[in-house]
Amino acid sequence: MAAARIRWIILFLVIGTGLPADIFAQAPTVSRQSRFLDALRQRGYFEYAQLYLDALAKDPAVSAELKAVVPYERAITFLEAGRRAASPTEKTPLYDKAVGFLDEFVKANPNHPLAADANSQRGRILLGKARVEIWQSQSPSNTSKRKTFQETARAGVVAARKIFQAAHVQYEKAWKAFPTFIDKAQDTDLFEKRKRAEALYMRAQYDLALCTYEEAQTHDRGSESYNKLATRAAVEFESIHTRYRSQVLGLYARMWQGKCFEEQDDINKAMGIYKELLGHPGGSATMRRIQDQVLLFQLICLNHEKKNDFVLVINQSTEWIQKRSTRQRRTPESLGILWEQVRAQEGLATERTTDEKTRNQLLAAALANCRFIQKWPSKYKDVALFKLRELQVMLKGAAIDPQDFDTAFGLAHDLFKKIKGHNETLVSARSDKKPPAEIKKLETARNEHLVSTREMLQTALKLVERDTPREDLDRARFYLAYVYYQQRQNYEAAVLGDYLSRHVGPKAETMALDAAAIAMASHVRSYNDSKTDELKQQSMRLIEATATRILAKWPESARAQDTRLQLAQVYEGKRPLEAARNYAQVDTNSEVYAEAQTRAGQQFLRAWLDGTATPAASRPDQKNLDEWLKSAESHLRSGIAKTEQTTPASVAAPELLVAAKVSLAQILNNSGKYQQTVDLLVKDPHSVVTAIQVKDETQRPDTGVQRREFASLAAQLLLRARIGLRQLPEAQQAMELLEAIAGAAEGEAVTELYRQLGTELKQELDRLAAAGNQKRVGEVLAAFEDFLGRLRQRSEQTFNSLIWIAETYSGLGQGATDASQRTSFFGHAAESYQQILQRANELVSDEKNRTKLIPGVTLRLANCRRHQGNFEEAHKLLVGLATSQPLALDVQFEAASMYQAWGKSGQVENFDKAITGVESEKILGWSQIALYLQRLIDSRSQDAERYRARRWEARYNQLQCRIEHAQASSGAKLDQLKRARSEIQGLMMVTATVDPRWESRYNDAYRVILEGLGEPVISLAEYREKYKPVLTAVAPTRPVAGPAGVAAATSGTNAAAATAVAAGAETGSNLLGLIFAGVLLAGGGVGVVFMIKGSLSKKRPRRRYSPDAAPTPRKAESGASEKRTASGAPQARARRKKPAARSGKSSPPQQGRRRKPSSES
Amino acid sequence: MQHRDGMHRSWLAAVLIVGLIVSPSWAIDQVLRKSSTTPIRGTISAVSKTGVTVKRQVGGDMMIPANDIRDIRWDGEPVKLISARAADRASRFEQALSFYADAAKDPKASGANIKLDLQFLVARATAGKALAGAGSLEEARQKLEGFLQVGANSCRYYNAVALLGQVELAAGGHDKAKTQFEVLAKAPWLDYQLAGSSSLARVLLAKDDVDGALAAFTAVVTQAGNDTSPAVKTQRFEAVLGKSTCLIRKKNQASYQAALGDLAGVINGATDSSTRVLAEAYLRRGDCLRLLGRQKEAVLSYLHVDLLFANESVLHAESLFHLGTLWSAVGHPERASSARERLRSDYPQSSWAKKLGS
Repeated sequence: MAAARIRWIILFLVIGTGLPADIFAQAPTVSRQSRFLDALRQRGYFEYAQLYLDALAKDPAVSAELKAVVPYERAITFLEAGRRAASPTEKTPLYDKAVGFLDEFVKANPNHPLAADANSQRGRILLGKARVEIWQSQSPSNTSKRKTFQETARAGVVAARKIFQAAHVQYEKAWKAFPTFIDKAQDTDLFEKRKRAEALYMRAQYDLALCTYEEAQTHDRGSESYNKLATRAAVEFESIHTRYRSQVLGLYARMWQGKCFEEQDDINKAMGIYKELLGHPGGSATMRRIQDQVLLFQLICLNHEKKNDFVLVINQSTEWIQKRSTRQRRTPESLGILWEQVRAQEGLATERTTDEKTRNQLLAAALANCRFIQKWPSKYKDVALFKLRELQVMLKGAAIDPQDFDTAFGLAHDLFKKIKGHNETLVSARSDKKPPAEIKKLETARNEHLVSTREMLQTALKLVERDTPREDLDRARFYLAYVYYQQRQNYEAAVLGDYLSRHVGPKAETMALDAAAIAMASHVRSYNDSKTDELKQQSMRLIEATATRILAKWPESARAQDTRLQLAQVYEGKRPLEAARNYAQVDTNSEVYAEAQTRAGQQFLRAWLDGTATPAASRPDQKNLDEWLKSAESHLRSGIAKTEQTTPASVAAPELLVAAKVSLAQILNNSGKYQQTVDLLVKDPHSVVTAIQVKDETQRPDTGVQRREFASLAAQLLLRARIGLRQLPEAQQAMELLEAIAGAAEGEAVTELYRQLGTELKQELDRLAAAGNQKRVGEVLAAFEDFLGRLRQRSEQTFNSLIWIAETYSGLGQGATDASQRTSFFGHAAESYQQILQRANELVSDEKNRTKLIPGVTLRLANCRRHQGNFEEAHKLLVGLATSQPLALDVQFEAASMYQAWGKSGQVENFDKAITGVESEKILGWSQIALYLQRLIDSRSQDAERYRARRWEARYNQLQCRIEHAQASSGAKLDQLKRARSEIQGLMMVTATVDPRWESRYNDAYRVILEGLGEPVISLAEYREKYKPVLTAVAPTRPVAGPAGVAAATSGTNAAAATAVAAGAETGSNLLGLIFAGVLLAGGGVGVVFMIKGSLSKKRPRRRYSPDAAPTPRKAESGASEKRTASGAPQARARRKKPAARSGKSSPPQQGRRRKPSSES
Repeated sequence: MQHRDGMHRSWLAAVLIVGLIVSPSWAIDQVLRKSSTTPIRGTISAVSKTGVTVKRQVGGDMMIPANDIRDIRWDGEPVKLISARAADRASRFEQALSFYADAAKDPKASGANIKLDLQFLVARATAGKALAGAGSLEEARQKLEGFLQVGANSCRYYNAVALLGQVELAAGGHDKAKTQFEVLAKAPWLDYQLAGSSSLARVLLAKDDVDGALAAFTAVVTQAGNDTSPAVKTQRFEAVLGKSTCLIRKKNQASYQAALGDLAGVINGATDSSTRVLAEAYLRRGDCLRLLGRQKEAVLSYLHVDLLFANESVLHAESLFHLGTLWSAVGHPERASSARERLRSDYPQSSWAKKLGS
């Protein structure tokens, strides 16, 4: 057995390098067991090698000596399996297992003769793992991580080199310890020992040269480092060859020297070496094996695009093959040579100068060769199978009716490959803005092609037989899943993808992951396509289940990154905290890390904004809120820093960066760090103020950071910071900037901007108060009072300055907690509005403009009067407005609010007016408003979503009227509460869900009602469950934003968002919306109200993945790569009424993220 | 087992040629032995059916019994014969026959000894090819009978008798086979006697007399006793293999288990050079395990033949046949397909390939 073990060492030494075992002549006789194991491994039957080792370990007839080396043999088996595994993800665990068994062996047998060798094996494993990293670095899908993979690989090579270097020293010493001359006849044993020692020493040198070669691969091909190392490796191989030119290992070194030249594209030099080796006179089996390998390399060179010497390849390979027996033709080297012949035959056949007859002959010969290759196990088996199918199609054309799986799958494969071309053509036509007719034609062609591909795949699957290779069956299904995905048949794609991800063979781990990714992408799209919240919820559950599995099973894969991003996108707006956490987990090496950090920050900010706007009873813990805000700041800073790092100062600021800065500015303003805000917005490099500037204000783009809404947001933040710093002149400049961005010297746009500022101010004060930060409340109030006071001192007031003063006071009034302060602020606001109305002719010269502005200002004045408690005055103003514009929603909301507040002030009869309205005054009241909104919704208005949100608001206010009435009048209490109960329960019977943003408030109201009636308190969900109607009414399709929500600054204008929902029972009506009422009711509306948190606009998760987001099949890990669009959201999406994004003021421009279709494997 | 070649090729090199005129005194013939790796060199001075006498330059005459003769290299023989024998050993019968034909045309093959030996070698290769399912059994029979007509005193005689018995058995001529094996069983050496007895047991097996065959094989095992000489040991293993075949034919769990026990003894006891014995032992073990439903272990056992003993062409074909089915059963249809493809490709004429169908 000892002899056998030594032989095993020698066998093991050659693993991983292609060296044959017999390079060490006179090795001891090998045992039957080891020969069998070796044969199993050579055949690639690794699992049966392990099974055999299991049997040996258990067999009582097997000696203890042999059993001791079982772990060692297991290590060899795993090592070899790792070497042959197709993908890096499969290799690494195999190598790890090999190391584990080596350790086990050494630990159990520290003095075993093989123990010394174990270290060298570890070196080879490290080298093997380094190769995995090298492959990863060369994968197109890992472009962004290339450097990381290269560095890891280099570290592995260095570690391996260290081991080999130590072995080199030891083996050299051991070899030199023998006498120079040993008489073989006299002292055979010593002679053999020295020979083996020399072999080990030779091998150590060879290993070191291999390290150099592999280290070269850790650099970009053609780079200085690569060339330097490849040259060094060539020199080292040459040195070995020089010393051992008569020995097999010397010849192998020579061969690798040639390979070094070949890889440096020095084809002629490489060919010279190959020619020399092929001309070597030796005729031994080993020499033949080397020459086979060399011939293969030479043929690869001849097939190289620099040579394209197809005829020579065919001649040489034919000559070689004819000399081999049938069995010899099946060796991996032989099959490799035959494969090169196939390539040459195809190359020659497709040359333009080749006539039809010759072409067909060549293709037929290539076809026959492929049939032979794919019969025998080798790395060429799969490629030959695919080539076979391609050749079949080339020969027969597509008109044939397949009668067997191979033919059908071959045709399907060919069709499948063309999908990419169709997609690219279509994308290109769209981006080139080709005529619609042309695009339509391309779409039709693509769709027809997809149908053909699907049908052919289905035909293939019908022709599956018992002996159809499983890999082919899996692949056919995988293709079908992909085609379904392309056809937007999401369910079919998801089902197939999910099935494959669970059931493909163990060797197809990459396919399993890709299939899971298809399932994930299909679920995401199904989510996006879902028309109702319920359907969305169902899709969400499937998304979560699939994502959880991907993240658990392949946590380190690139797809896991994609999954986190997809999950985050789906969560955006719905569950910002989870969105944020998923974004935050995106790896630092990811190509989209900076974006993910930014989005994580924005989503944390969003969660914080939502949380702070929640009614006190259900508000998250302040500690959590603080943490979210801190995380928001931290991630935004990280995103900014990372983006800055990769963006030279001379390059315009990326939109992502600008957006991140604006988001961060919001946080800084909130915490009173005004100077930091100013620095962030103003200072170079990549100043936000610079980024948002345009030459012509009338020509602002519809998308990106220069769009009016986003630019306005940035200017507002700057203004806010200047006020905080009490820098009047600079604030004045910021105001001018803001007004310029608004696009008019005076008018509705500027007015609206200032109204937003006022609202924002109010929300800021609310947040600070809710957080118990009275000190900051005081500071903000003081700063504004100071600023406004100085502004009011100015003698020359314009329409804009007066509006600004009025709106800011109004905001302060709404945010102030002290009643007298509130009254005072609203008084100042009213005063300014009054001034505008009195000096309208003077302030707004354009009559048409003036006519449009006056109703809005009047409405704002009425609002102030209401807040002042001057209901008569407010009533008078509102009746006037309602009479002239009875369908103006903002007027009706304000009028109902006025009556409600009036009732609450003690004149309880006004509660009924607030609910039922006053017909003679053209005031509708909450009940009629809700019905009116329902009619608008039923009319399928494109603003239905916005109307739904307002309907929730109206009905809630109606309930509040009842409750307040009951509280104010003991006589009416029971009646009002019963009415309220009846109304809310009736509402629940016709709706499946309550909008989540209103749910807690409705529940609170319901609780108050039930408590008031002395009935058991249950939630509305429980009520619905208890009295669930048989037919479920369609729920609102999407939620409204929270009370403090801010619509996305860059996601498109949306008049709907103008209806900012005030916190609590406060019906903070958008009075100036009246100005745009006509437009708004017509369903248009370009009111610049995008910043209002609590947008009612439709939120659709961004589909930053193109339809090609699903992974295309790939050979190893070279799957789909990604690229992001340089600009914001895709034009088509940006132009339509864009849903408000969820991250409040700081919402960034949307970053398109498109997955580039991968190349077909 | 209709197509097993029963008697291993080693027997074929054990025939004495008597009465032939020996070569000139300066000639150097070489007798390759089974018992040693060192050939005996000298001039073959006498040949009989029991052995050859070699007149050595040093050490005097040496009698080499026919049952120890592996091969004879005649002085001045055609060079092509070396390649032909190598191909024959590697079961490349077609190639071997081609080389033998070339050698026969060589004037150097005109010597009587060489000519007669060449006639045997051709008959042997023809039989090997036929038994492997790649050639005609009738042609093999004719060639062997032709040789025996002129080589009754050749040292190849008993080998030819054994081969003819196998060919007759394969062709279904049980009685004719029995006649030949009875002759073999009367050879002067124990190992040949045991071989003859085992072959007679195989005839019984071929006639479906499983119990009779089992008793006969058991008797051979007993007769071989504990003799440690390699030749006798090999015959004992052959008898155990025959016994195992009988047990398998009994088709019950207990007999499979019993056969497995016997086969383990063969597998552990046979030397690696006993490739035919080992190949058949692994085959039979594979059969037992397969019939016991232990498919993965069966695969491993058949794989031994495929990976280690592929030169045993008849047995290799059988292993490929079973692997062609079993691989699918254990979830590797592509390997099954590959095994079937190799069976069709390498042994197109074998009964196992024919069993596959198209």
